[in-house]
Amino acid sequence: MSIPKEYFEVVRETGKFAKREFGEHALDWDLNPDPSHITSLWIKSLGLDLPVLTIPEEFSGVGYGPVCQALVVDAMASRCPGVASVFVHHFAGLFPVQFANKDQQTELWGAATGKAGRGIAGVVFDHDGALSIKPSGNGFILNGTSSLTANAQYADWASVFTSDQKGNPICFVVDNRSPGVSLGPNPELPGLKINPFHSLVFKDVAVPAHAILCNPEKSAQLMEQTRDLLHVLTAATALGAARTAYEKALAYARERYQFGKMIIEHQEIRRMIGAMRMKLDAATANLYEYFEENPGPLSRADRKASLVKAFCTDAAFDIIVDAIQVHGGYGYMHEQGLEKLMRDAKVLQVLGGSNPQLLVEAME
Amino acid sequence: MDFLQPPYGLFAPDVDLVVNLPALGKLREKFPSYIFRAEKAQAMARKFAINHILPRSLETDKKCSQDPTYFDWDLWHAANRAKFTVACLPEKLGGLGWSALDNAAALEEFTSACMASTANFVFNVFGLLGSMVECKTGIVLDMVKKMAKAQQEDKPLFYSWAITEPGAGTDMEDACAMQTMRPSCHAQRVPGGYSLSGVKCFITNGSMAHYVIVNMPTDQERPLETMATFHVPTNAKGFFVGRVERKCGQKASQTAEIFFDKVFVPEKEMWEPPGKGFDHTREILSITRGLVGISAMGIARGALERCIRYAANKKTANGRLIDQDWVRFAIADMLKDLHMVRAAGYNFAIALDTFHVWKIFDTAVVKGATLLPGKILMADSLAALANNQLANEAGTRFKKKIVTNEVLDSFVKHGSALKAAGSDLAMKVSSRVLDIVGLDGMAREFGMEKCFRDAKVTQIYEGSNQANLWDFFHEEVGRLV
Repeated sequence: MSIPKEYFEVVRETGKFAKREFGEHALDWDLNPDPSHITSLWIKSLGLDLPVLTIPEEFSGVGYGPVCQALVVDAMASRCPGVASVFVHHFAGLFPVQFANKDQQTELWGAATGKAGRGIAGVVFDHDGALSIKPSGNGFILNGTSSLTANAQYADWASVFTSDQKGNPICFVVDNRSPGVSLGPNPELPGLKINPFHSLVFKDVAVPAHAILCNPEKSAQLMEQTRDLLHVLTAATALGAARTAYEKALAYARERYQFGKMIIEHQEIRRMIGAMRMKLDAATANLYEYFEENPGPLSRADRKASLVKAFCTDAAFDIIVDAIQVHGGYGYMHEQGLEKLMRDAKVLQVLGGSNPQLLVEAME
Repeated sequence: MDFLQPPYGLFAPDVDLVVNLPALGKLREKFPSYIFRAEKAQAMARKFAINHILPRSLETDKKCSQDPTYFDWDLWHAANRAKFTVACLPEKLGGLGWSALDNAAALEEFTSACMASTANFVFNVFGLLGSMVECKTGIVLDMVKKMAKAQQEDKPLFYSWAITEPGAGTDMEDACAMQTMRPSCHAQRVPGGYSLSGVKCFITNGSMAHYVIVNMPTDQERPLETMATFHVPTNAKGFFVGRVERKCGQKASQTAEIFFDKVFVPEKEMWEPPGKGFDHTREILSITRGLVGISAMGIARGALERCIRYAANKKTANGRLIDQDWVRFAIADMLKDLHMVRAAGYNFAIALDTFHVWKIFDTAVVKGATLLPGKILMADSLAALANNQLANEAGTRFKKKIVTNEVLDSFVKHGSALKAAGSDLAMKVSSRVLDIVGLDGMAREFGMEKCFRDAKVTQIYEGSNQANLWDFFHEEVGRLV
């Protein structure tokens, strides 16, 4: 597919930014995931307009679409999939806002462009029906405990997809700083540690009428689209991680001497690295073919995005596991960074629905 | 069916050795005590796994994440009091007299709870295994006495086996590779012995060890022809422990760099002379690779049993997770592979009892000796007798008659295949169960993510699986082509 030239510029700058700002700290952040790392990184990233990449120009954003977002999170994930995942969920959280009325847009984009709070967004899907709302005045009262959600401890607000009392889909924005919102316990997932997942606990949280983003019909479609965006950006995150693993394995194979020669000279190592390259290329093609079919606002909602996510994250996982194998004992050590990528990729495989589950659902 | 408590494995105390491998029933008819003892070992190990390992493995894993040098001494003492640290010694000498089958049955139980914790109390067997290669009566008896004494006094006695170097992993485990390796270690001949220098890395228990069994060449230009094996006390001058590694998993088991700076080793502590070091490695590998395969199979089993329990309790929009078709197929597929590897594992263990060094316990000489009262066996006078040259040489000859080169070739072959099969199973299953249980089930408290982190290294240590497959091909087919 043809990618606009200006996107490459953004990707180049993002790559430099990622290398400079967290490339060398990613391993340390994995061990000590202090939230201040992300909050100060976020402020710096505003200098590159990264958090406002998707926001329409008329609201002081950049107005770039999903392809550019994918390229950006890929570039970040090649340094740290955990940091990339913060942006992934931010972009997914922002997505529904463009379909709101003008006043709501002004307010929410304003928050995200940094005029209020940190401006980090999140997204909550309520597939298990664990949230309940009951009318109250013009708005409603929200109760329940969400499923595990990324950005939980960073997001100022989140787009929530659930059902109303009659079972109709509804999409609204909840301010995470409102009274009654708290974080559930940290489940300590093995990966993406800089972005710890939590459930959001809502106890009698008042949601005003103007926080409702759109009507039920639109909400249902919007949920599918948002979920699809989350899927393809997750896929892009996996690709960034996989590319790093592939490059590291190739470089190591060229410098590691064993059995009388550099290990790249061994056919079995070549086969492994060849398979890594094959999977990386196939996964990349899979993702960008999706974008070619869906150049605009991801309107197809035909579950293809979930297949793309399953394929790319599975491919990335296999690539990373083999990269560790090529490195032998070194690959298993924290300082090499590959075992972190493996843990991160494992979380990507189940994020937004585990891959086998997604395959089953895609064919329903 | 009520899935809440799977009626087997880690979550049920019943003995199921013959249930899981019905072919053992035929053996039980002929040799009832052989199977009965294995069932007893399994029951003991499962009870220990449930009561001691399982309740603390997650906490220990976490403590070790924060501090890689943390060691769970309480667990070690409990294991030591249960004699698991000396399980391989005859009962007369203070051990449990475990056969290889007993060991296999117990290992599976231990590692299904936590492989790293298990390593802390079973890997010191490297000392005894190392001494059994030459089987010099004086050295073996001394080793046995030290182990038994330490166990009785509840004092730790750790042995490490130091093979890998920063620049040589596979190269230390394959004869052809060793010929071309670039050793960083060197054993220099000095009056009265050798002076050892160099670095060994990724050494399990390297930071805990009281003794290290280490391979170094006396001529770095000719590593295979001059590789020798030394037995080194870690309080020797010039021995240092470097960094304890921060790893992905198996955190409770410490992995360290160790440094030798002109460490003097007297002649009598050279266990294998120059040129014999590789054979020493290979003989240990002929036993340990298969046992690593069995241990890794235990990781897979632990992951699967945790997954079954979780899936049986997890409610989804369409009933319980375990009621989903795709979940049932996935679990069945993994259980099927588990059964296959387990059968191969027990086959290997029974073969160790039948043909390898365990066979010594079946010989008339050893059977006769173990009839002697324990006091005599452990007496200094017997040690003095065992230590004379004639006795030592007789021990070596006696053992080499049983463990011939053909036996070793066969066990390298089967052990390598089992190691690769078990570790591939561990990785595949521990990863796949996370796909089944999803984000919620991946939470630390359910233990499955730990199984996953623990599994990967089993494909790497004891020879990478590539090295194991290479050996396997060579032994099975390579000689023919």
